[in-house]
Amino acid sequence: MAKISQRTGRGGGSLALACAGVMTLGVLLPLLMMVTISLNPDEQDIMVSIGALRSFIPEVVSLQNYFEVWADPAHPFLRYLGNTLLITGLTLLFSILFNSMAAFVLAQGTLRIRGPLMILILASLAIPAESLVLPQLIMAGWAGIIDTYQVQILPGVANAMSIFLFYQFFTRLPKELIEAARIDGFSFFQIFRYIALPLSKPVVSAIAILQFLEIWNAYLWPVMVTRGPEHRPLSVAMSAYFSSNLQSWGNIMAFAVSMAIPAILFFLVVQKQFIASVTSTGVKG
Amino acid sequence: MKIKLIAATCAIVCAGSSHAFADAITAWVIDGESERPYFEQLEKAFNAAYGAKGTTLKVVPIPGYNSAIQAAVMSGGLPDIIMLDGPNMANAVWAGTIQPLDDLIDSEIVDDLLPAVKEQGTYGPDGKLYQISPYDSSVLLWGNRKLLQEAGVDIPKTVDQAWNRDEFRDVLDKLSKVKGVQWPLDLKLSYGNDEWLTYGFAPFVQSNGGDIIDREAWKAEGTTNSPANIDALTELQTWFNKGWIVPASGGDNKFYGEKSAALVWVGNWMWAAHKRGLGEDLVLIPAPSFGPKGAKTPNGGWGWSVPATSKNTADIKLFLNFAMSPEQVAAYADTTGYIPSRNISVPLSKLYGKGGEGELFVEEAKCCAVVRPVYPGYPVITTAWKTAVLNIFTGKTDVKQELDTAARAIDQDIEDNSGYPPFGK
Repeated sequence: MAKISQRTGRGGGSLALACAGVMTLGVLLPLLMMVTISLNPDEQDIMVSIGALRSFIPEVVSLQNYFEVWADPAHPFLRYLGNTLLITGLTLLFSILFNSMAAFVLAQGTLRIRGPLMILILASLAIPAESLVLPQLIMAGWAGIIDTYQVQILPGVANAMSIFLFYQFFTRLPKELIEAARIDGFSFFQIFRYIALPLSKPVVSAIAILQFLEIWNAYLWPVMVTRGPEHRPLSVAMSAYFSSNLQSWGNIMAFAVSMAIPAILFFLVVQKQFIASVTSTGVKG
Repeated sequence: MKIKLIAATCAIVCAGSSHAFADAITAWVIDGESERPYFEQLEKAFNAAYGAKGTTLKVVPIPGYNSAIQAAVMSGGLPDIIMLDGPNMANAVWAGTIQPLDDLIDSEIVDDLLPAVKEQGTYGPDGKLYQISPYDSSVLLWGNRKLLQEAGVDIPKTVDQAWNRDEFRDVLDKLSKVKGVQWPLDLKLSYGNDEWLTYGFAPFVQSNGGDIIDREAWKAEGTTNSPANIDALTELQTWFNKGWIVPASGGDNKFYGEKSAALVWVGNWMWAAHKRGLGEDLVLIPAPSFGPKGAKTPNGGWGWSVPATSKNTADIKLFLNFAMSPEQVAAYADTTGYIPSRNISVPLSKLYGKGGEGELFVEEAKCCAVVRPVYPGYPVITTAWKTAVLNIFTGKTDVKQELDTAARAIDQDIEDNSGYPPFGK
């Protein structure tokens, strides 16, 4: 804050602080309302107060809505949580592994068509993911993997943005380092495995956070390829609360908070690396 | 010894096979909190009745139902039985997705359906039934008795006594002067760009002699933008501009929560919320008569259909007749708050039977329900209509201009699809 004041003068600093405050409130208020409603077991009270100022301030603190959501036999929350964790975890693992490998080949390999390949990959970023849903769905039908974990994992593995971020990092690796490894007898894969990949931790964190949220909150694809509760993720399960005209806002908000907690925890775990990645990109880029 | 071993093996296999080859049928259903207890009951009751005879039922509630059905049509893998929303039935028939039910359901059940429910499930070109719903829906005016009494308003009890347009306007004017009433009427604009804008607003124009499309020529120009439609929607827009109608930004709870709206035009699905919010102050008022055709109400909802790919017709027939039995239809009504679709089930329902709180809904469903167009191009019709209504209720646009635009969009789609043959031939 002191630095902002020095640069912009006291008035400018106050303005920046006010703007930051307003923006922070804009982000936090809906979350506060979500938590407040989730803690209120009285549905009638929620209906009366929703949208009013007091729906942002917890007056009652009860975990009843949470217990109802977690113990609902029609919607086994723990099963859905397990499904979502499995799908997100495996997609992230395979995505980081294969995309980093692809990027390393493109950045440090000897393929002649590296340039055109990279252009093609970057061009694919311009294609809206939704436009690929139909062909992917038909292919999944042919492969006979509808309503499985595989169908929810495979489409998320190859990711052009991940390849691009890894590529950017790997092209900046010092040539001397790669050369030294070669002289020491490292194979191309060993250079990737023991030198490039460990050095790319900040990129891995950035990709993990960005892709985690994308997979965790995915709705369109899972709703089209899942049927029963066996492979259903949290995002699809939550939509059941909106399929009826009888909506229980306390339970909806408790479900939403319960769904958000793992994402927040994940961010807290990897945030240091993520910020380091963003900072280093900012300084060098 | 060898023969004995083979015989024993055969016996075990055959004994097991009666179970292994028991017919299991699967039904996909909408996954809503109000419907869930009914479907759980349906599965249990069916399996108790037919499980021992070799037919079992698995009911699978599907969240995001429409997307899931569309996906299953494209990727294959539709179950034996599905639920379809009434207005989407014609499009599914036209696309060849579902098969007729005439041979799969007893004719006495079909004959006993409420007229509008039967009409909703019948496809015009071949006159066959493709969807059968255990329930019907309707809309009426729900009132806050206390506020109405403060305004000195007479509350009609039957459809014959329904307010005409002048009386309705007068009621709203009186209510607007009552202390505590911020908006006299909630038309549920808070539902946003939803099917509600067709379902809930078409009755006003139909009561005034209009409609959302010409149902014989299947042409929008001259009907969608007819003087009757313009007149009815202009009246509603005027009310909106006077501040008599809750705006979209007002949220959902002005009638039953804050009680700052005295009347609300909405369907039977709000029973629970309204009862909880108003208790003894809740009063049901018949749909207003907005013009020369008298009171009109919308109808329709989800019903059973059978995919064209389903082969196990004997068991499907067993299921459909069971699900549409008088007791099951009444159970659906009492569990979900919807109106029983069969005349025979009405007296069995606690809510809608003689003296039940929902008697007025049944009266409306019988006398005044108008089915939304059973036409393959309905998705485009409703989208164009919804857009027009949404724009009209910003209060600033010209009603005729909006309806002209809607008519052009509808006719263009019909032309693009060569009149959706066999319609238009």
